[in-house]
Amino acid sequence: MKLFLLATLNGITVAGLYFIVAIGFTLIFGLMRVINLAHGSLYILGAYIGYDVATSTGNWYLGLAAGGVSVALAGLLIQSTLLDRIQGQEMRQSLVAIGLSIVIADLLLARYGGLAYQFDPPAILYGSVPLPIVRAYPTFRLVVVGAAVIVGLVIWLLVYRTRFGIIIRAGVDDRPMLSALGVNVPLVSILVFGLGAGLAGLAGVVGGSALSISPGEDARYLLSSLVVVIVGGMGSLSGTAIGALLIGLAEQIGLAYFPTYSVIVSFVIMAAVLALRPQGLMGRPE
Amino acid sequence: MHFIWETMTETPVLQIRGLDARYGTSRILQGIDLTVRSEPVAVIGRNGMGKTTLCHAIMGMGPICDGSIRFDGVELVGRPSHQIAKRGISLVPQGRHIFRSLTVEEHLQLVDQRRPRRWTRDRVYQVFPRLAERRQSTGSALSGGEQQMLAVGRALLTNPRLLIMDEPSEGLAPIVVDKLVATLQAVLAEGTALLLIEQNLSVAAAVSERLAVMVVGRIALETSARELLADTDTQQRLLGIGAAAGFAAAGPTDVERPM
Repeated sequence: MKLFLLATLNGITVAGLYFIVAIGFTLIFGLMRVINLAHGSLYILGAYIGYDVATSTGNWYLGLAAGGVSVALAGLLIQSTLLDRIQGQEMRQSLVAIGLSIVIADLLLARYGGLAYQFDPPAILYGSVPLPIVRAYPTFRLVVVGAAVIVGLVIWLLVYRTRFGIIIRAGVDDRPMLSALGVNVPLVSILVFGLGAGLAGLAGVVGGSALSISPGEDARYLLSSLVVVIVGGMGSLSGTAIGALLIGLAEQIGLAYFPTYSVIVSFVIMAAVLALRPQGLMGRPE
Repeated sequence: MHFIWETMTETPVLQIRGLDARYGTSRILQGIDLTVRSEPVAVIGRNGMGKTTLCHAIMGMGPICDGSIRFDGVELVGRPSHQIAKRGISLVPQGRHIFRSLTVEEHLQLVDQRRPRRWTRDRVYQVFPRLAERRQSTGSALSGGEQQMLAVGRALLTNPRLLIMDEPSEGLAPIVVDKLVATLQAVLAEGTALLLIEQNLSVAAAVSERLAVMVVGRIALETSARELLADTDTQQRLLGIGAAAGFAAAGPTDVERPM
């Protein structure tokens, strides 16, 4: 019982982290249809930048802000100079993004080496909270879940309650028509890319604090984001939340009960969803 | 006399000169000359003659263009779509292109400039009370007639100087078409210029006195509605209207063929 509860709590925590990374991916890939296979690199870039700023200033919050803002700026740059020029050409966009992620990964390896880094979050977020049955649980992991909920609400409000959100959704339905109504669609996709990238950077700092930062994490988070978005349904915010929860729980419960085979659980779920409901759980048919 | 002199020298709203347009290697438009002043112009022609390509060329929506399209004296060829729209041209496209996941209200919010202008959201709802009833329905849940009202309302809410309508009567019940024509006449009375693309001669003639007949990418004839309505020979020759011509009319296969 204790193991199950602990695995569930861990699953929800990981789901929160996956959600923050994947919601940015949903904005960029699911909604704007930019094949950003460098999303995992944006995550790890945010983590390292955040780490440098947090350790040199001694202020974790500054590190968090630096990770988010600098990666958002990097995202604006990447979309406006590289990916938007080849919008609609899936293969080229994929290759450019993969190439970019290899370059970023090597640069980071040169600068930070292969060691794992960990943050020191402020005391108020660290330590543990007493809980029934599992007795104590790391506070920061609960903070991750809270952060995911807040991020989810803010993005939902942006997409469904603002004019900018109307423009984003209209662009998903019919880009040429949106342009013909006077909206600068490339500019919109650059801004959305910046936002999604910023969320990945933010998640990097949060994830690096809850777990750790090391080379290879980029591929892990890219993969988890892809799986979450495909399971939840392209472009669906609620689908991203459900997908993140499903994958996070499956992964952690799998790790607790059958560690050898846990890696395949997410992919079994993805394969099942693709077979039974190809548009994803909350997606709509093309 | 004074009045005639004035219409002769007024700057045209839209002036197209020697326009060629192609998609890849398919030449669709060849040497189009067309001028829209304050009175409406209707371009008519059978399916596949290049009418929609003409709309897309003006709006900068895809075809590669040579020649000149001037709007209020400013060259549009080579500009992106959103800049052309911002200059004051609005399109009601063929097939209406309603955003299927946006509600009626969101469609109007999208283009509402929130400045006191001739067209406001309230006025669109006044002109089309049906849209007010369907305010919270998404685009995909609307009927064809409702979608057309929304497409027109959306275009008018941008307060355009020039309205381009591509086959607005297509697929609509006759009673809905009548309502549409009445609305258009009211809009025109306020001084918005109109370029209407139609297959339906009676709709075109009801809205516009000046007609241009398009045949395989060229303007074959510029005439008045009265003359063309009286000339069934020309109608049959250029539009395929008349006995036995309905099905013999050039099908869509003629459209994209390189010339």
